[in-house]
Amino acid sequence: MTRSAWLVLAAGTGSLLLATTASGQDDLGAVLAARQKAVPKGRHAFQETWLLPEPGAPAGHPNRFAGRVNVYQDGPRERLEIRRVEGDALGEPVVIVSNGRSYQLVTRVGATPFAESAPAKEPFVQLVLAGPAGDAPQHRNVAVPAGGQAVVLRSRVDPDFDSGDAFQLRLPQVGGGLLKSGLSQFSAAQNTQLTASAGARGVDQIRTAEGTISVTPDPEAVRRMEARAVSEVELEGFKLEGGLVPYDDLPPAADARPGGGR
Amino acid sequence: MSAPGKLVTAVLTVSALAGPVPARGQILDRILDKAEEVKEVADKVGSAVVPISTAQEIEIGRGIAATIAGHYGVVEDSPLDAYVRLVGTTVAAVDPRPDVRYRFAVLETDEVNAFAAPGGYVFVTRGALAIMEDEAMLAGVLAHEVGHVNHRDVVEEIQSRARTELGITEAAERVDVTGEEYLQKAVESGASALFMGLSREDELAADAFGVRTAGRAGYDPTGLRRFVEAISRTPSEKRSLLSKTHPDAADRIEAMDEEIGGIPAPERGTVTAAARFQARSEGAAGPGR
Repeated sequence: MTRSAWLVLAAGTGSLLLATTASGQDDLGAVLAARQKAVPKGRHAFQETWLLPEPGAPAGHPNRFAGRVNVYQDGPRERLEIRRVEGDALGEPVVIVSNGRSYQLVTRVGATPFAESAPAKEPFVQLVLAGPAGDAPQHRNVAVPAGGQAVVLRSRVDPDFDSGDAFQLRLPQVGGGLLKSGLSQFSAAQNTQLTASAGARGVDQIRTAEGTISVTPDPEAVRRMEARAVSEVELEGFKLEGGLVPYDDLPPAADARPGGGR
Repeated sequence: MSAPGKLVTAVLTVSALAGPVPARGQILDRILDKAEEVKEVADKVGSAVVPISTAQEIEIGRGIAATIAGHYGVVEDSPLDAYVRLVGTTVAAVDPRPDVRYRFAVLETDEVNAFAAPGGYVFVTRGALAIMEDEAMLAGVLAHEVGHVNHRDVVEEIQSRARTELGITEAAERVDVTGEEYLQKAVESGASALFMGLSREDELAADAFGVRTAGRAGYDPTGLRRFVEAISRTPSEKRSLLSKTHPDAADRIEAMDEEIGGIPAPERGTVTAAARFQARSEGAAGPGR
């Protein structure tokens, strides 16, 4: 199978089916306890890109970009920001913080024990939490309870984060939180209004290296340029198809496909 | 010592370069060195006297982008346009400025060129796409332009021109950086800077950023170098402006070779994506103007 066969370009909104992995709070408690124990000492940060199989898809059908996870650790403390694909963009993050003793779901109004929260029942969140908190290969396959294999790509991130912000048990009231992931700026949801100031209208003469030229500026073209955004799903699909970072280490052969032998 | 004080000192030093009588070449070198020092200090003074915030930068960038779009015309709603946006967004995401959004568009001209207006507005011409052979070349060119945005090269040129045209004291007293008149002048100055050419140092720094960033995105970092080589094989009428506004190809290639040689293996991509480029840039050489 080639890398391109992994790609599902159609940014359909159908959700990916994942059966619940933990049968109850006891199972989740065990997962969290094991994870807490595995959080390494010192400062670490990494990002995971998750590719999941589509529900009911035949064996060998390409996985699709399903979410992104950022993890910040200053052992034994840990913060996870889990974003699922919603439509063709990444949704608001589920933020989970451990103070070294217990995991809390952190929101803009405060923190609640994670195990008692609604996201604790989300299969994708459970899959993420069950993953290795310490060292892991750059890509790994993870069995999905509903069938097939997820492919997870991990890349290290500069651990130069502010621990005061990272392990705070309340999200900021305004803004996107701690991350400087860079992807948020490509969100189509951002305001792209064009102020009709003198600056934005352009100028009708330019001095060039070949003399002065007359121009009829086209601010409408700029407005249209601003309206065209690349969605996160489209961008990930493009990078995956081309074998660009972070998909450059994915073996192009069959052993990396969902259900493959890795 | 204050920045203006340093400026005065540097200027005086240039004029008092006599000392023991060195060879003429050495004198010239020393004068050039001092002149460079004067420029650096003056640029810092200019930034302090004529501040430009990110919001103003974006507004100025919109005006310059509108001017460029009006001059050449923009390719609208085509697969080519969408493809360039994807490649551009891929390289911009490697090392983005958190305070700007990057926009990419194709200009409807067979001239070989690319532009970056402040605030993230990046253009590449049909003519430039027509001489490319693969996606790594496109990635390198767009990453070079992203470098100009990230380094605020045009913004600094606007500040420098304001200082030069008005004089430092006058600039401090007269420039109302919040006024529309100032924005309009800044757009005029910035557009002119793009069409007259940025400094050699800015271009070489953007080249270095371009090869490194393309490599970190997973592309073969030689793409930009190969594009510069391809320019020199292009008929001169199609690269006239570009040749007048950029350093010599040989200088650029030499500097890029050094940069590429220093890229560590994990950050040196190998993707050229020639087949995808050929499939998706079909029509790049289109009608033009």
